[in-house]
Amino acid sequence: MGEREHLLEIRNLRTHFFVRGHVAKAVDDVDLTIQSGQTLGLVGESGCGKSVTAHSIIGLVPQPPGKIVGGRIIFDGTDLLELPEARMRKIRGHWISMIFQEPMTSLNPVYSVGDQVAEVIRLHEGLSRREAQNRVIEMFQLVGIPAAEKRTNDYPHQMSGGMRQRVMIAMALACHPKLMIADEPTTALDVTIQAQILELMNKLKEETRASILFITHNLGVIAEMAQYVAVMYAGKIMEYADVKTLFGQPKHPYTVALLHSIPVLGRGVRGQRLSAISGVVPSLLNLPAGCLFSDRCPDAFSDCLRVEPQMYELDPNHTARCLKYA
Amino acid sequence: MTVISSRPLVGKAGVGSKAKCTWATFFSQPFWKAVVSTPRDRRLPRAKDGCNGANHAHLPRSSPGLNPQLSDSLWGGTGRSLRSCSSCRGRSVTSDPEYRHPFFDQLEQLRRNKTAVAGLIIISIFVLSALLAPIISPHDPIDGSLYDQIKPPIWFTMGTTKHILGTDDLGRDILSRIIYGARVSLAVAVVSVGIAFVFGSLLGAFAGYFKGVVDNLIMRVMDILLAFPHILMAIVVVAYLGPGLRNAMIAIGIIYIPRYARIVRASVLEESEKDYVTASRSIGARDLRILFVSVFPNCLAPLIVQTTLGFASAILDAAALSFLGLGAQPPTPEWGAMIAMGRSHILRAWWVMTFPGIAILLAVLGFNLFGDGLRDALDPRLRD
Repeated sequence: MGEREHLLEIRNLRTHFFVRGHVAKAVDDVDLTIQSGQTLGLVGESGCGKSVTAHSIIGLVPQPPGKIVGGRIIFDGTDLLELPEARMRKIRGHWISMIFQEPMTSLNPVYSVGDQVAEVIRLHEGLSRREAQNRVIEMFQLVGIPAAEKRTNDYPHQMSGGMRQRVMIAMALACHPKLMIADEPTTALDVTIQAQILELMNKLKEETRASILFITHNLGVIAEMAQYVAVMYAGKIMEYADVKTLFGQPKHPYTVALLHSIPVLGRGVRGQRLSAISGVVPSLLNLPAGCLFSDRCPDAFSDCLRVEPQMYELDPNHTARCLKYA
Repeated sequence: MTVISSRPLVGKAGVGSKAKCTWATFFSQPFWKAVVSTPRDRRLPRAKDGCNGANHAHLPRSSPGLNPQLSDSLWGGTGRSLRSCSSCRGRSVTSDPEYRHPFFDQLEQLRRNKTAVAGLIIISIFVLSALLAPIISPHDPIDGSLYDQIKPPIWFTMGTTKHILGTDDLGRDILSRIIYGARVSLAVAVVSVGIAFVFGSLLGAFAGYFKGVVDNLIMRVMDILLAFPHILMAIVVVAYLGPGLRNAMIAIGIIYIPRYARIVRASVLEESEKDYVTASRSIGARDLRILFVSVFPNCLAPLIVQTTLGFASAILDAAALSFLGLGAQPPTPEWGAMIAMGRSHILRAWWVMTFPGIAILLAVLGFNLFGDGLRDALDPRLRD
């Protein structure tokens, strides 16, 4: 397998939700590529379809009301959307694993954390109880849980948020997956723990050479974690670039506006309001014609209200969905 | 590696005060572990004296892979949750030798609840007399003596020390029959509640987990079962199966299924929305495994309460069926059947039906009191 091979290729993914006669296009025509050993950051506001994209990859979109209506998700050469459920189950947790946002609720309160991590290993690798237990201790040491051996007997309520998230990471890494999907893994943690977890994930990514799809609404976190970034808005990818370009020369007005909304200490005039993007995210049930961002865009011109923009290539590895670059 | 040096045992805050136990934590650890591993003195509430703040230094220090200086300052706030001792805030719970299993908080809560204790005592008396019936009962429950027909209890002038609670019209000792009757009643309670528990939980779990058509199908059938007055329903079932103790148990089991199905369905509906279910699915677990291994144990607390209360109603219903002649058949010493037999003598020998009646009352009361206390102890929202 070549180093720069595409591990995951998402083409024209469309995941829609059918609610009371309405169609919510939570993910609409999304293209993403993740190369092996790299981290792709997926940023966007709440409800823009980041998590649905992740759930589509791992096959956890609740059906009904959700349905993947089109597209392909090619993971390591196979289209995941065509796999029967039984094969998909073998992939989940083994080749693709997931880390959730809320470490408080994503662990089962009635089992010890060691048992829960051992469960993944036993499900996928058929190890004996003892072998699995040893592996769990190894994993706990790897993710930096002190007194790993003792801690395996702990129950989730006996652990702090940061420790629980470490357990989740241990669980996600237990079977040496090729792709880890981290769905806002640090949102529920305070900043010191957040820094530790991010550092840990970066370190583990180097060691295990897994790819990460990192979902967040925090641009600072993305800058630290990702090599490539996709900015998502109302179910569509707005801009895709490597991390330096995206932060250095953002092209899409939405990306520019997002970066502008980050307040910087010491800059700006006292008493001045923080800059924000005017308007609100359009309802997924009632999307505007033309460009989805047109009603909030400072650069909008008349065509923006009528013509739906495509992804336009600006540079190799830099695309933006804006008519300015058509 | 963490080094926990020995330090004086430190007291916990007054037991039961703001104790963090939920239904989930009650079952989160096998309590026998805690019972085995916790020295007796630690289970008792003690003053918060031994905590001088200085012994807070023995906390996990190093973590592999992190800069030691950095981790030293960082670990101070991680790896532990706050416990109830106000002077020990921030201490590690797990590596803490004083860590107290939530089971003990709940046990303590139960112990302080006087009515629950009363209920437990009553239940214990009945259970003991059922177990020790051949030893403690003064006479055989079935063989009567024709010389001793309708003897009044001991405190009447006609009474004899031979028959403390008197005898019935066949000369059988009432106390002995009541003691043996406890066996029958408890057996009925356990078997019929067991039937209801197993089938009700299964049906409710499937309904709650698979939702949609399955849910509708199962729950509408349950609604139909619930639409009949339940004793009438039991009579119908017994009439169909034929009278007898075994069929009465089955009938009572069947009419109790909807209660359990509803409770389990509600809990499963609530639990299956939680993240750990998604997490379980994301590691590749199957539906049935998720349902019974991950979700179901989280639904047990309300079920246990319902089961305890269910024993009470099962005893009552079994007695009712036997009273109607559909349950235990003579000469089985069953409380309901005894009442039915004594009914014809109520004016000249009131004790023949009164004492079995009191036995039923006490047994039902015992289970109800204990069940209520258990509910209070398991549900932190109902405390204080």
